[in-house]
Amino acid sequence: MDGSRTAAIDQHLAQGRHRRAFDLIVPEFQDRVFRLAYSMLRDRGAAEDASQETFVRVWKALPKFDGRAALGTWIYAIARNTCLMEIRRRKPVVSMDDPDSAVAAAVEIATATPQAADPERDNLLRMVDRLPANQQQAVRLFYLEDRSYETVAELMGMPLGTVKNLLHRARKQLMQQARSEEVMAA
Amino acid sequence: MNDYDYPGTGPCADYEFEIAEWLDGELSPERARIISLHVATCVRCRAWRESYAAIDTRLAASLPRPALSADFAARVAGSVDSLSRLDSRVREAIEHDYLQSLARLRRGWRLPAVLNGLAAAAVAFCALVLLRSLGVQWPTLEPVAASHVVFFASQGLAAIALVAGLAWSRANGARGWFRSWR
Repeated sequence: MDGSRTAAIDQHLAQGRHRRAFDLIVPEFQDRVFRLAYSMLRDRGAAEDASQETFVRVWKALPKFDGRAALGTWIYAIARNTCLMEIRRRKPVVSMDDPDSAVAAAVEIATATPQAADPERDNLLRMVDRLPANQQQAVRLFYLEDRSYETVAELMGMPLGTVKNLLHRARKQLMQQARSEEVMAA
Repeated sequence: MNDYDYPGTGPCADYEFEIAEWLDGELSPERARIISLHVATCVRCRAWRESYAAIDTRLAASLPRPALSADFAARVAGSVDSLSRLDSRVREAIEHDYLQSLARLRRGWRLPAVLNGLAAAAVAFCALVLLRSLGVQWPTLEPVAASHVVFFASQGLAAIALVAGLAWSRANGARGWFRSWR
């Protein structure tokens, strides 16, 4: 976070210069909002659309922002709500019980990341997809945000301890799954 | 299935969570030193730490890291600008409608007032003529032509004003009358 930019945003907001504040808010928060959206929607295009929608909502609501919560907390809450509405609007991409969804997820992984075919990597990503939704989101955000517990907690709107717990359980489960697959292969 | 399905592979329960935090660099130096000493002497915890670190490395390397389009900020600015233009157009239209309605109201109150006044005057005049034709005599009336004129004129005007005022108040309310007049 750029401290001087944040101070300038606060100053513009305090003086009612919403457009100037907004012009600084977008570059300040766009990457994190996008990564948050991606961690929830798991589709680059949808995440970008949701991010754009988030900022339009921020713009509309900016005159009502009273500063009781931190600006980032407020923006991430808007982003989460926008993504949740998008998730409710469309059919869930992945279901634990639906084999077609797993195929769709695999296709998405293949198209979202232009990397060479790597069965081990695909296998790991499939295992991530089988985690509970909040663990998946925590794991994705944790690695997108360069292993920062605090940022993940802020983006997910959860206490730090909860995020640590989610991450630990997720990685432990992945480790166990990987180990069991190794045993079965042997 | 859990770690303990494979004897000898699970970590010591007291250290499991802290080993993860240690790997993430989240432990205080003092706790990190204690955990590292334990891991160095515990085969199970060492094996677990290595597996945990391996999955951590694989995740970091495997999870997609999509980037935002370069023109994202410009697109957001475009959306907000078009929204602002729309907002200002809507605001202008509403303001225009409001001013037009106000002008219509200001023009409109005069005609009913004049009509009401004329109607009240007509009613008052008819009433006076009717009373006169019925033979009502005014007790203080002197048989002087000029006095008759002044008397009838003052009585008639008073009646007109009273009836017109009542009619207007009934139609618009006293507050409406004052607001229109102002």
